[in-house]
Amino acid sequence: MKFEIARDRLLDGLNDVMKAVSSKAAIPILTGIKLDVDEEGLHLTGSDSDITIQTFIPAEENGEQLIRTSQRGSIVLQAKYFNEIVRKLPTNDIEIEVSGHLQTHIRSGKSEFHLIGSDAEDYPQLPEIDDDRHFAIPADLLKSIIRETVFAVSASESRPILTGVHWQVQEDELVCVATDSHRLARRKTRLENAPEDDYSVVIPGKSLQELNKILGDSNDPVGITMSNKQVLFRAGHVLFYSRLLEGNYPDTSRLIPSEYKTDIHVNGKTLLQSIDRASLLAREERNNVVRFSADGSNTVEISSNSPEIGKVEEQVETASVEGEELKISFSAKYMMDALRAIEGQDIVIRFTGAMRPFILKSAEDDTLLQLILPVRTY
Amino acid sequence: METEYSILARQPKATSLLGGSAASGRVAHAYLFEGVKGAGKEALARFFTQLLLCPESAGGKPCGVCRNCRRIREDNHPNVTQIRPDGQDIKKGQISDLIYKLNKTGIEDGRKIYILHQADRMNIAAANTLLKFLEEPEGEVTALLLTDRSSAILPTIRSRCQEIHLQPPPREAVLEQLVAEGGVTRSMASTVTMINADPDGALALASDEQFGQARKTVIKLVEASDKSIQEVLLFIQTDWGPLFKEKDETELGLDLLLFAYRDISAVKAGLSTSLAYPDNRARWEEMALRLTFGRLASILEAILKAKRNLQSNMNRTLLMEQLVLNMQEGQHAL
Repeated sequence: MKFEIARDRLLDGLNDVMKAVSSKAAIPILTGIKLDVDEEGLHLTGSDSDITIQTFIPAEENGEQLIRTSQRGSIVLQAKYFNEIVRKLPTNDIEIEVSGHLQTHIRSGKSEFHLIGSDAEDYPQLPEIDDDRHFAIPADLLKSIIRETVFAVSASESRPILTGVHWQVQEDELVCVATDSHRLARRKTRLENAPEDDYSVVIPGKSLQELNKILGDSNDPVGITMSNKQVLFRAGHVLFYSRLLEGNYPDTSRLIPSEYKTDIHVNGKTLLQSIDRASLLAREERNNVVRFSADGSNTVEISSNSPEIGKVEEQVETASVEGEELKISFSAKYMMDALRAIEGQDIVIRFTGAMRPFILKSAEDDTLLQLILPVRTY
Repeated sequence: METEYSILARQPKATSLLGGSAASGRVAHAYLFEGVKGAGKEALARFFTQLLLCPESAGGKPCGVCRNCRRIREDNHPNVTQIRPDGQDIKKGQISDLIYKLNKTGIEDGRKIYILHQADRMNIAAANTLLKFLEEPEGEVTALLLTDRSSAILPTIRSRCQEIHLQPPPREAVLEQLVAEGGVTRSMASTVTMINADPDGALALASDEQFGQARKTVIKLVEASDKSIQEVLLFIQTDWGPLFKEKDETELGLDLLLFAYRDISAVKAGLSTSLAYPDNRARWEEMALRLTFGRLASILEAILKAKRNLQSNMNRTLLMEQLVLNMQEGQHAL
């Protein structure tokens, strides 16, 4: 293997794949980055076994030559050293050559490094992805889908399946659900080019958070391909693979009430700030509980009481309160998470009673639904 | 390649059993490989892992050269997870992490395999965490538990595993091999084969200078224990203490001591078993005359008790002093 490459482009690529490389690799080979070079360009791959990031640097771009390949080949190099070496090389022209037994020479200007690589054959094989069956979502929309659901996954690993977000494709619609069994977030997205088959996968929450960091705020399409082992996100030259959680996701559709007794329209930002204030005194109490009461007038009362510290009461103006009177308690943290996830000012909160779950959503659109279970207080 | 397939010759029963279940596709959720140190548990685990993942296995053995076989040998296969004790024991956190990891789909196709080395070192919390997953894993998962003390494994764990017993390697054969090929003296070879039944491990031990020193010190202690108690206690301070500092070193020392008294008992009983210290036969015979079977039994018991106390982290100097005092007990009463 022998090729020349521009340092800045190699660094850009390394920056992406380094995000997947972990210092606590499960198997020794994963402390390395895999390089595959041919006449088309250079593939870089990094992985921590949960997620794998692959990026491609083309040989030519906009009529400019980025890589000159003299001999194709593959090698795995220690990520930590390779990244630092490339970062500190003196000139922008780098020549990488593998000779003999995995001996890698990195030359730039008058400096030359010898790095001992590992056999690229030892690197885990990425699943073959069938490109016909993918669908695409703009990057900014994908980011907001992740933001609106991933916070609700379970932090405890006692039920592993709940640490993931359930992605389901059916009837031209993508439904994402996350729950930790105390609250639930559900996001529906209409797909323009939905695949014919139905899919149902559970993607680990941590993988989605990593994906969120890599995606840019553009509306470039991100291709999504699901298989029964892995899910692949394709954004430009970057491929992001994640493993899936095994097992069946619980049926959540029956959790969402079908009829409601109290509907409240309120400004989300005002309510969020008020809950935040009330939680100041609730923080010490277990579960962070605040009380919420609607007595038929156009204001609702948010209150919290910690006997040893003090109490707080606040009236919040609402746009309308319809239905039965209500007194309910819930976790301030869950409420704030849910309110932050909902975009737009006008929010509808719909209750079915003090002991039943309630939902929050935007007044304008139905795509995002947040559900919270109340806390029993006496 | 040699060492890999010697397991076939060394454990013909176990390998043919595992080979058969792999070929018929009836692989259990969990196996417990049980056998003495050096019986080849790790080699057997590797053999079975390769067998399950090698695409070209034939005739009950893996090809040994394909990509999967090579990566398993180099610990680089993404579907294989190895768990070893973190310090004293295998902790609950290690097991929960393992279960969480195995709840995800494999990176590559095929079965996921996890190997618990020294599975008897799992603490209670860890073992209980593992229980349910051991029986009903998500997806295609196989557990291999390795132990040399199967009695120390929780019965609830044991009953959920298919037990595979490994034959201890024949000591005489290993001994002859060490003398013939390793250039080890017969007396040294006799001692090391008692400690480690594996030829390679025994050879490494025989050429270890520290082990030679340990062996000498133990014989000296046996001699000294005939003398006054003050002298023995002094010996513990001056000779024994500096040599056997760490816990595993002390364990080795106690084992060597145990074998010495086992020899004396054997000599006294006139058994024809091969001794651990054949070069000391004359001395053992002399001591055998003076010690009654009752005394020997109580000494052996004292050493075994010290070994147990060592596992519960007793102060090692106190442990040795208590041991020699216990060993002397009854001597002056006679």
